[in-house]
Parts: sequence; C-alpha cells; structure tokens
Amino acid sequence: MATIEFGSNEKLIFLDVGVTSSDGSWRIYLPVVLDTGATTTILPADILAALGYDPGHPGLPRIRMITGSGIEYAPCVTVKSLIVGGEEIVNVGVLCHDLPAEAGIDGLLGLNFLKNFDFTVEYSSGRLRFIKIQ
Amino acid sequence: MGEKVSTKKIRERYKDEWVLILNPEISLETKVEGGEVVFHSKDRGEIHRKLNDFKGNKAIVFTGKIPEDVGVLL
Repeated sequence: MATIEFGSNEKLIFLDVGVTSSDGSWRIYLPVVLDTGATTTILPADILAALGYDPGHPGLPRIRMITGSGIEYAPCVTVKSLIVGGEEIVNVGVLCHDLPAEAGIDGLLGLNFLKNFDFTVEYSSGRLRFIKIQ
Repeated sequence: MGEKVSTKKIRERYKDEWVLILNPEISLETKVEGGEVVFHSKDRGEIHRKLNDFKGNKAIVFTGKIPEDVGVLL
C-alpha cells in the first residue's frame, strides 16, 4: 500500500508524478492534480517531446475530449510508465494537452491510471492511500 | 555539480515561480524533496523549453498557490 500526504487545505489534490522517457533511462517529475473527473491522464505535448515521445506523429490516435468549455481533440501517446506514490504503472495512455499555467500544474492524473488501484482520500489526515489491484 | 537545495528552501527562495531541478531527490512516495536548481521563471513555457538543455532526471516544481478568490474547474 502506498500513502501520500497532500495538503488538505489546498484547493486541489496536488501530487508529483514521474514520467519515464521513451528510452526508459530517465524521468521527469511533474506537479499534477488527482482528477477523478478525467477519463485519461493529461500532460503537455512539449514535456512529452522532451521525454523522447512524438506527440505530433500523424499515426497517433486523436481522442475527442469533452471539457467544461467544449469539445477538443488531442493526440494520445502511450508512455513507458508513470510513477505515483512509489507505485509504477507501465504503458499508460496520456493525452497531449496544455492546461492553463495559472492552475500551478503540468497535468491531470486521470482514471486510466487510478483504475489500477483501490484508493481513498482522507481529508481528516491529509493522506491518500493506494492499494494496487493485482 | 551545483548546490543541492531542499524543496522547502526552493519554495522560500523562488516565490510564485516555476523551478527546474536537475537530479531531483525523490521520496518513497514519489515526492520531490529537492535537488539542483538549474532554472526558474514566472513563465512555465520557459521551463519547458529548457528541459532539453540538461541530461538525466529532472523535476518541475511550482512554488505558488491558487489565489483565494479563484476557483478551478479542470
């Protein structure tokens, strides 16, 4: 089981996520928000490109995103792995999309990552608990 | 190699900025604990453009907070 402390007085649940490069040799750790309202994890295209992925590749599937402000299309890249709370999930689909910098994050941790866990949000202790589903 | 700084110190030194950290120290719960600050800016885009200037593990930290009078719908 993984336990992550988060700031229970913050407006959002901020986490650090490690994203593994396309050659598997290094990672970038980014601030994201846990978002159970997002089907898919979202990261900026330029960060994925820096990690060696090709978000502009014409062969990538483009996913229709229904957002609060309308419908947008974004390419979906499969990253080697994401790591959160010490738990690593391999081959995760990530939508390439820039969120406004004013939110103080680089992306969203969506349900396609979270569905690998039973997880609880404990506001009383400011902790998230993740149990990996075997 | 530059000075290793804790994330707590980074938040004190670079208020309301995006900070690029090289060779970050990562806790068992995947929290960025500190590292070598190689660039900082109010502009997130500048940080992203600097990523390819450095080899190895990196981390991005935002030291600001969402203002009290702002709501977020993502």
